[in-house]
Amino acid sequence: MKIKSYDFKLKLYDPKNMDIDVKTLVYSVVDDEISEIKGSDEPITLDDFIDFDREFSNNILITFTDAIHGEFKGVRKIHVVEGKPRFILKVYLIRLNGEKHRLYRVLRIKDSGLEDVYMDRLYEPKPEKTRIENVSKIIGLPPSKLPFSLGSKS
Amino acid sequence: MLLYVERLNILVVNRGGSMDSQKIVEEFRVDYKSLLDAPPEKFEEIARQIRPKLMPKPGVDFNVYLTETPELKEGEELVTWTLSLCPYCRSLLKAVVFKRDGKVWIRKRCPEHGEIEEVYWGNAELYERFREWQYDGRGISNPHLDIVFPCPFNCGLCSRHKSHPGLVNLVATNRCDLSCWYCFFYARKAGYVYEPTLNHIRYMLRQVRKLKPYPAIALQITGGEPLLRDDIVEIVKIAKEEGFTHVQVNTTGIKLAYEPELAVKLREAGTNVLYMSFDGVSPYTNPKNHWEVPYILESLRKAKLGVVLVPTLINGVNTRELGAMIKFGLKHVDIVRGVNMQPISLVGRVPREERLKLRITIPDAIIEIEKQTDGQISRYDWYPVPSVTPISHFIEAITGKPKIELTTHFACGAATYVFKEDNEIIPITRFVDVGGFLRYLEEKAQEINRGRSKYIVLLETLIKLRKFVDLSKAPRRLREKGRLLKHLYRIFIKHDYRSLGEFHYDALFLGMMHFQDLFNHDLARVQRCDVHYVMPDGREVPFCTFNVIPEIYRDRAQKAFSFTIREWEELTGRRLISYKYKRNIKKLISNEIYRKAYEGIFDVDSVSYEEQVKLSKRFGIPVVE
Repeated sequence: MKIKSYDFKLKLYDPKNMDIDVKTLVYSVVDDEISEIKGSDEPITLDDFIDFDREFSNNILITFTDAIHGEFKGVRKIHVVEGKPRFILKVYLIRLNGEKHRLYRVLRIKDSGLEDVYMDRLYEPKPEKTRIENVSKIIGLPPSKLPFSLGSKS
Repeated sequence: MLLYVERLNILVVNRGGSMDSQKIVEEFRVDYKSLLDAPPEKFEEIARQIRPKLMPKPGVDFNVYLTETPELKEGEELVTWTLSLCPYCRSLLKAVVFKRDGKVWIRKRCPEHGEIEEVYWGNAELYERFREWQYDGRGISNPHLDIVFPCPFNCGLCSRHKSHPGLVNLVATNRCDLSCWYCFFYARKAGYVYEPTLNHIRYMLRQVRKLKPYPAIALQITGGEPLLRDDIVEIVKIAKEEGFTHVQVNTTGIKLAYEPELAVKLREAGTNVLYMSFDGVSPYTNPKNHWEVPYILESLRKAKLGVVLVPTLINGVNTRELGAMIKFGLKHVDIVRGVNMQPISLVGRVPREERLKLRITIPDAIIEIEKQTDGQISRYDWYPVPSVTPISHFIEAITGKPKIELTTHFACGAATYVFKEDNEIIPITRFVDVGGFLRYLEEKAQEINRGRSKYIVLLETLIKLRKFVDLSKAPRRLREKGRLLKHLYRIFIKHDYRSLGEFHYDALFLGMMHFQDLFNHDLARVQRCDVHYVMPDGREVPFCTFNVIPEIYRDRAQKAFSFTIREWEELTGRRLISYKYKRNIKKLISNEIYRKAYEGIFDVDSVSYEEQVKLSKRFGIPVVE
């Protein structure tokens, strides 16, 4: 199975100033192991319209319309998933107007595709400890096994 | 089980398109008369089933042409690129927003229909000033719809939406007692009656209240003419039961001129304010309800129910009365809470020359008001809607409870408050440093969010509050007994809805809300819209999608849940036409109430009776004696 992710930089001046840089790390959870799945870079095209919005509209409120609005540079990354992981974990490393944020998203592989199980939202901030505990509970691994243990810097 | 009674193949011709663009779409309609006693849960079940059938269809309802990026031309300065629609075939297009000759314009190019250029905002300086006040919202954390289609063909709401709803509209009926020449919405022209049952309404309102993180608390009951419903008072009660703290009814008010007791019942049921059409002070500009307005205001006074006057502004038609409309509002400030102006949205195939003639944008209206009030209300007294977001941020930081934020696009709306003293109009900005105060509140909210003690910040704010107010320039009645500071303290200490309401009683709210049309459509504005409609299938759709692309949102959904006219007439035992309003001008102008209401604003003797009759009839309202 192939999973898409996106890395991008966007500078907006209208209707408001925004300078955002997003990198996405993708992990697979197989049994009680978690491992990163590296992706191969491809250019973003107009065909990414819908997928880009699915990826970023809810968690960081960025849409394809914003990409059109501002100075946008980005790549699509394709991650090849081996076997059948219990979960896919996406970690978004975000620098928004100079401030760092880290958001988590847990997905489950179903016959119809990927299904969201958990998603952090940038504008409804909860302490990272709470969010990591949420992720840990869902995927059934202790927080120490997660890729970003508490207190580490992205 | 689906309740289709009709599953018709309808030929849809994309407006302005060639024969190739004719597409077959299926029309779905539920057997609405079989649902008269259905509970809200049944409507939820039916809505869930039928919603996918009502969604826009790619290739049929819309095309996507994003390969062409419109270029800037000589003498043009880039503002931004955006996404827009072709006004002729609804195709999704890239557009450029730019400055030229002191104005802001939008231009796009449709492969089928060529280049379309439109005024976006009539004053580039005010555009920059307003842009400084943009704040974005926090979106919808539990969207009703998954993302399947591009924006704006996926409305319902989906997770692309950046603002939570500020005000939600509920269409209670498409029946109307008027038949205004420009309206295609009302039942007789639409060919069906859309009138949801009380349980269906309850379902829709529950659907609205489900949205997170902030469901709407303000509801507008609209139409058609919602006061034609015999159970309108019940609808208001249901809205209150479902958690809407602010309920307003959008009406011409004509029924209240004749039935003052209805105003009392509406207020007692929980209506907070009427939102009343009012296109000018003379019969020339306001043939819709000019003669009835004085009586409506009397009914509202007796009922102690406030009203917001709502002029639709059409350049060259009623814009010369902008100042007079505000003065009329101030004359009746005991009952008029505000004047909320709506620059016209141009619907249909309006040629460019005609558009340039009729088009008025928010800054054009603001500058016209400045001229017509001899500078008493200047262009710098206005602030864009999202400028009040720091108040929400501050109160939320203090209380720790989520607060509604009005995070529309800055180009969508503007507002100010004015007070009247003798013959002088005093905008709030003359005695309150509104900009400074809002920036201060934002700064303090951020300090609390970064961990500073909210008690210390609150104390600092209370001490600092006086520095933003110059009481010597405030209206007398606000200076007396420190009423102004009391209002401000209450709003920022008590931070409740009532304190704001009390402030309103001393002030006339002036607002502008410019709804878009297909010529100036900008998806950056749609995604930030906070004035929504709830549709009969439970989708919640931004105003400028619902009304700007009615054929795939408003009309399709309402028709699916409607009665045929014959069904409705059989059910009610009444003819649809029997509700049509006939005006007795002689009777209306003979009473002192009429004369007094316009005294000092408009000379009611300046128009002959014959001319008045002609104006009413030309508009579509018959006159009887």
